[in-house]
Amino acid sequence: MKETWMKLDNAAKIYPLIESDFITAVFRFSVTLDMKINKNNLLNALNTVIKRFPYYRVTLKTGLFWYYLEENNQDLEIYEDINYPCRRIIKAENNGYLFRVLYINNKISVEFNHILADGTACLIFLNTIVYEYLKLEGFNVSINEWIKDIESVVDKKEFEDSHSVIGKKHIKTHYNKVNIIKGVFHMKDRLISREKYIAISSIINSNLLYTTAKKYNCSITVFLTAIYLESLLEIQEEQVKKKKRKTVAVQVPINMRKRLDSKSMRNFSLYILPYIKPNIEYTLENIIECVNQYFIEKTDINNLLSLMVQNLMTEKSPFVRLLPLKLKTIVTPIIYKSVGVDTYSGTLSNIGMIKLPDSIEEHVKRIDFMLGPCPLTKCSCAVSGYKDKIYISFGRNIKEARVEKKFFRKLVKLGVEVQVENQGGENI
Amino acid sequence: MKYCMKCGVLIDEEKNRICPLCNTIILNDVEIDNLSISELKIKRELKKDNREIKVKKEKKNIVGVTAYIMFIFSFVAIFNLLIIDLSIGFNIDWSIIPIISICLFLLTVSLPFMSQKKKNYWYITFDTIMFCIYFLLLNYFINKNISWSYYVVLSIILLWVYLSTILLSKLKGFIIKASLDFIATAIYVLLITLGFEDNSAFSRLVLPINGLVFILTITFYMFFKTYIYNWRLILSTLSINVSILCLGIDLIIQRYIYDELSLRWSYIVLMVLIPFTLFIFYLDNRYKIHSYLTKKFHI
Repeated sequence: MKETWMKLDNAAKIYPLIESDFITAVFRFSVTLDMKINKNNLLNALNTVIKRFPYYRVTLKTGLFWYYLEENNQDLEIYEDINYPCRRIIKAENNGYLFRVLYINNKISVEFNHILADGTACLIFLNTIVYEYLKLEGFNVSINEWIKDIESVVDKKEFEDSHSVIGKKHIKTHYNKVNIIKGVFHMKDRLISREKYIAISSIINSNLLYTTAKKYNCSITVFLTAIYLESLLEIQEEQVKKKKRKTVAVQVPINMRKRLDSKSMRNFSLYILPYIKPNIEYTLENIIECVNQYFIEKTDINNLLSLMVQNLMTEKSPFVRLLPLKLKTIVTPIIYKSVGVDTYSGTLSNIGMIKLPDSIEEHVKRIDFMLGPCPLTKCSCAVSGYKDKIYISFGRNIKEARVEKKFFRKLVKLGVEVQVENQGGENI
Repeated sequence: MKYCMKCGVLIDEEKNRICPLCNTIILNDVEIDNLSISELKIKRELKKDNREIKVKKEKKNIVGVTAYIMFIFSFVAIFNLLIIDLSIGFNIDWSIIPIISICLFLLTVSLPFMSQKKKNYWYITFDTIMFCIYFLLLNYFINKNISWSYYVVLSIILLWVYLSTILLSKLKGFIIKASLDFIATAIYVLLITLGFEDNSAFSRLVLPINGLVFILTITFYMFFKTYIYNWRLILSTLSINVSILCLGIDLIIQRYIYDELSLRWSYIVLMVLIPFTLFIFYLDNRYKIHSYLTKKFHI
């Protein structure tokens, strides 16, 4: 690392302030290989790869006004994947690192705290570990855009906080207030113990899902978001009286790297919040139409730039900057609740189709993605595509698989064959 | 691979013995082969048609009749009172008090029986006005001026403001409602203390206590809304707020009465609440505390 410390990026600044046993701010990517994982080779691969990713060789430190990242020279460790997924990353248990690498049988997983990076960056890191691991196992493997060349020089732009850099360029042209809907529906179920997190994943034929989505003239993300919204709407009808029903919204992250030509390996995603109003008779076609329209409107680059500028202006406001960190840790969760979690009923993150080089693809059976727990939305959905399959993983911290049950049953009714399995946690 | 009978999803029966979505049991091939009809406990439940024909009872307009009976009895009582009062002193004197009481009864109890369905808030407002007028008249007829009824009327109006903030659906947001209650209480106490010779009680006693209650209520509400999923944190916030409130009230009262900052009784509350808060804090962070202690003391 050129400097021994660096600021948190614009999106990351909130995470250490709200992080708790309930909101872990952790997400996970897993790669299943066609061989049993050798612990020593995996550790060696990690130690080699981390040199190419110096921005992850850091620990979180406390400043007067903000947290910051400082170079961490402690030993890296790998852990057996025997606990619940997406648990909180505690510095003392992890030599100060903000990510952990786990293994079990044929599977290598990486859990990242969102302070470090977003899903795309984390996946590149994991793929590079897998690349190096396979090399150590004696295979002749190559790289592509999903894998970093560990021999290459670290590009300065990979350290970049693209939110701030690009946001600053557009302050004058895109400083509009972005309206959000607050006070949306959250499931009423009671949480299970804070240490537990139940994960269910499913395997779907990508061609079949694509064809089904095309029947409705929409993309897979829009199609899955619409089904997710419809499921949540039905849950609300079961749990809430007609008069008290609220809007149902889903948070969908948008990867900004390709849109704005950024090489950043830190957070560079924005969120849109497609929603549907309660107490209206919707068909799936209606919901898809609403969501599709919303996606077209809100993923317009000018809208996204306005959102980015708004986030930047919030960070730069004198009140936020001058508020001491101790007070920020008290105030931020309250604000995060009202303008953050209160704007969505669930999260659906689609990382898209992942393409690995043929030499690696022959050893990688599947790639799974999972989001961490949220005590208010109580359920989240992560989607990844690899080879000819789509993997949809749900994580929840409530007893009953309410959303999952409705979501997958709807897919089955629409003619999509779904294979479901318990991914982690327990079936209570 | 087997299909879940309820969900229709495919499940690897070797990995999952029950459907991860609906907990329906998934049998493997051997178990299916060994199944026989006799093993399947078929319970033929006769579905009873629960839709019993409900005989609608004829509704009698008892409510309306009650109102009319009350009206008749009231008018008879008023008439009798007037006759007795007139026959004793040839003028209307003492009877005016029971008569206005009967009128209050008629307006607050009998009238709602007769009028069309109105919202609770309408009745509360109507009753508030009636009670205010009643106490003012009562005070005037007894003392020939307005004295004690001033305090009663102010209290009734304050109660009405409190109820309004609860019942009025147009008023949204707890903070707005709490602010209105806070302002109403302050105005109430100000008007009450205006009648006292030493009216410093408002500025030195009531306003600080009222402000403290308001701030602590808002703080607790915000924590409650944010950490609704963490009951331990909510309990400890409540405990801290109650401690601060007791401490504040004690200090304010001592300063007002003895002109000194001392604690008379709140320390007893603190002696109970501080260990309680620490215990809750420990419960909420026990794993972290254990981990820290193990690391520091090599336990």
